[in-house]
Amino acid sequence: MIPVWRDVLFWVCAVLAVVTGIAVFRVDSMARATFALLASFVFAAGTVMLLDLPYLGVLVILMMIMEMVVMAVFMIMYMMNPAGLMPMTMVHNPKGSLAIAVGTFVLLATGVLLVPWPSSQAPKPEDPTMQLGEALMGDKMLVMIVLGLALFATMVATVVLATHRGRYDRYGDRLERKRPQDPSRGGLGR
Amino acid sequence: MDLTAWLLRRTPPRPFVVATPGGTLARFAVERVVRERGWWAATSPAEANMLVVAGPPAPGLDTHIDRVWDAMPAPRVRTHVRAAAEASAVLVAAVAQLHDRVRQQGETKRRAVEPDEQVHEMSCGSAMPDMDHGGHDQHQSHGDHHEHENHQEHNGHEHHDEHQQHGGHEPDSGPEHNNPGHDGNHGHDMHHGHDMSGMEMPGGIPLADRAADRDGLMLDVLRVPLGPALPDWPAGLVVHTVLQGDVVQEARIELLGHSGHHAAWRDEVVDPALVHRLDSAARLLAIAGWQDASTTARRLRDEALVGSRMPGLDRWTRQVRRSRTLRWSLAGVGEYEGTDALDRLRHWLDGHGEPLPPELLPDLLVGTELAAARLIVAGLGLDLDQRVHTHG
Amino acid sequence: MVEQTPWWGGLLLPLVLVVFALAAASFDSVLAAKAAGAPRDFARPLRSAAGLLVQQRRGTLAADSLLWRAGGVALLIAAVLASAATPLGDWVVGDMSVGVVWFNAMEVVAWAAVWLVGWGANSAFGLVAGYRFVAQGLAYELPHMFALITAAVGAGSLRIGDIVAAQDGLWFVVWMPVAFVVYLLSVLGMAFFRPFDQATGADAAGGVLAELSGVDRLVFVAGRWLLLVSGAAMAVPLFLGGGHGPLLPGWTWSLVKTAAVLALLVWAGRRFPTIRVDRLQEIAWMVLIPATLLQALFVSVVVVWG
Repeated sequence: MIPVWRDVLFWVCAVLAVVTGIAVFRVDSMARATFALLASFVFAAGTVMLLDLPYLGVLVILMMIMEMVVMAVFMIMYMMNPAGLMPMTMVHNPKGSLAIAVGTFVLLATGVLLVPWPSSQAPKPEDPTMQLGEALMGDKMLVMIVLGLALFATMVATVVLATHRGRYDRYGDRLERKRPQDPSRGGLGR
Repeated sequence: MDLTAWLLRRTPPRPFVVATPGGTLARFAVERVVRERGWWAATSPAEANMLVVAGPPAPGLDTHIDRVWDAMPAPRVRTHVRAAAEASAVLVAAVAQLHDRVRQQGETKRRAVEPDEQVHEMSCGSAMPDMDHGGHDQHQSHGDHHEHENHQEHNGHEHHDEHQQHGGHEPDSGPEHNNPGHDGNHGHDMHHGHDMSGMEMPGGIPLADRAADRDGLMLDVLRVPLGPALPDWPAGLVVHTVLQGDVVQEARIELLGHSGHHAAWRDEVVDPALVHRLDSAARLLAIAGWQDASTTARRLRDEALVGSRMPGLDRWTRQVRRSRTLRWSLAGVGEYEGTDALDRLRHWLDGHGEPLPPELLPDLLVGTELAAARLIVAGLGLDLDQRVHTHG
Repeated sequence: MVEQTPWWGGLLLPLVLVVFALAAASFDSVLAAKAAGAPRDFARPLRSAAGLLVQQRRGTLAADSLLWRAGGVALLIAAVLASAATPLGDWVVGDMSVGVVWFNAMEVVAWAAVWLVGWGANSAFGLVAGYRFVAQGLAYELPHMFALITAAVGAGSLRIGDIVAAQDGLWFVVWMPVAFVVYLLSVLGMAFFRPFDQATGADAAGGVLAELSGVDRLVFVAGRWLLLVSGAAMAVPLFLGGGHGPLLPGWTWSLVKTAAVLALLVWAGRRFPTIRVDRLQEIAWMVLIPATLLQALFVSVVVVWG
């Protein structure tokens, strides 16, 4: 790609990511805030793709769409009026949070500008996706497997702790029922 | 060349069929015309461009039918098929009106000057969920229904002004959702929350009230009436539901327009029990989302009506009986005395199974999800016109 | 070998997709007419579009119009972009090294789009149906991803061109039948097409479509058809050997195979009643996910030791 276009795209993505990020706190509905945040993530993914990391960029888009939709469901579920019609403010403790946000931004921005970033003479890898995969799954395989198991165990444990219906509620005190008694029946009848 | 007129002439009719009590045979005839001409019936007013009322005039339904009409975007046409014999002619005339550029221009203009009415309508059966939750119910007393008797005369006209007469929304004394049965005569709630107490409400819709749901969480309460102006819905039936999320917490039925004496359709048909079973199956299959099987059932019903041979009956019966996906959808839906909607459908296929009374509905509906609610209603095989006959 | 088209290939892509979508919708209406005993009407989709063009757009009380309209537009755009990585014979609009992930990301836009359309109208049935689709997404998405991964593992690459090249001898459908079937099911699911159409179900007055009319409806319905076409078209390079085939040139084979998959999906959609989301959830997690995992395991073992 011509370097000029790269610069233009970067600035478009960067500015829009910040603008939609600010919009998250300026809009007055949970749904709009959620999707403003999603837009911000998508623009950020654009800058990642400009770094010749297409896998990470596309993955950010993929995961963020799914996560934001699920997040919208939860945020609206916990709202005072789930219909979401009442305009509501998206900020709490505005002064404090504004100070923290600006402080963090300034700190990170100075860090970006002041740190002497190393420059490498090594040629760019032909397939960064492959390199990423080898970095994660090569000598770090054991770590990734343990991480995966830990995450999975956490999810199962959370669900077990959260549900108030165990198998004795479903199948009876002696597990005598052939079909479980559920508020909503599944397709297999199990 | 006038592009709009050219496009308009090619618009396929999308009929939204509402049956009135005593209109069973008229509905059969309308559905037959719709099927044989290859029209596709609309599932919501927004989709429709032709409102077809089938059956004798029923003043009790007029406000509901008017709401559907108000919710329909132009181009649109409203028509009334009073008896089976006139179905074909009336519908052909309606299509001509639908494709008439000049007429539809007027329709568009009329809609444009009533933006208020336009945004107020939604397409949920009796046009909208009752958005008036909490202690601010504004429902009119229903004694003024006789004012609407002139409605039956409309054929392609609209009378929005009637809606304004419904004024006088008085805040109810108590939160109705705690005691949904307190007003047996309340037909539909008006939703213009103009008299909300002080707070700025978006669109004038008050906040939903909350109550504990089946999992013990405090969730919003939404009142959604189902019927009577719904496709594939028993004529004149209204189920007033109280929803949390999409779970029906309370249900109450009301029968509109069943006070008069109607000619019993069962006396005019060769094998009324067979016709009713096929019709019930067709409606249940339509709600279950099996369009083709439902259309086939309707074709068989139309053949049974005139007493002719039904060559496809065995094949259709086998197909419906064997469907595993249909079993997934219907098993455990509306269980009553050990039979569910699937069992009852199979009884209809076997050639027995009597219609169940609508009074069962509240008990069957409470605790189910909205997805199952319409399957439950369709799975009972209600024949409200038969009731009119036996009780009247 | 798959090669990237010049820039105008990107302009041609939507046209090709629209032609396929119209043909599929036409086939669908002919099937409907056959069941009803009505005269065939091949131009039905065009006439329906004409009707929607002259129809008024509706508004609803306190609707979030911005999000409501955005949903339909997002669906339409994503459906086209999803096909950017799909090769037609030897040509592809965007020869991406991560084509499989790109396709997946674009098709997930449907989650957001359908939910937004259901939410934006501020109508009870639309809202319920919007949530239904999110639940349906949770049911089909994981099996769908495992099916995609299986094809990628078989070729050892995320580039669609490499996956096609890997099927020079043997089509993937032969040794990945489970992944193929699950892929087709999930395509029907992601396009909320029959029988996975509870998000637009008749039991909820048309669900997310309940309040849409005029151009808004046209955009959304067209997006849905295009998404179905995109999904069907991607099945060809992933499992059916892409442009490989005797005698005819590659692009012809791609077109023929896509048309066949599309016709199969449309036909199958009419054969079954709507599969309710609450029932599908259990089937997806108890049957489809284990089945696709076993399929992926089998393919991995073959790739490593084969």
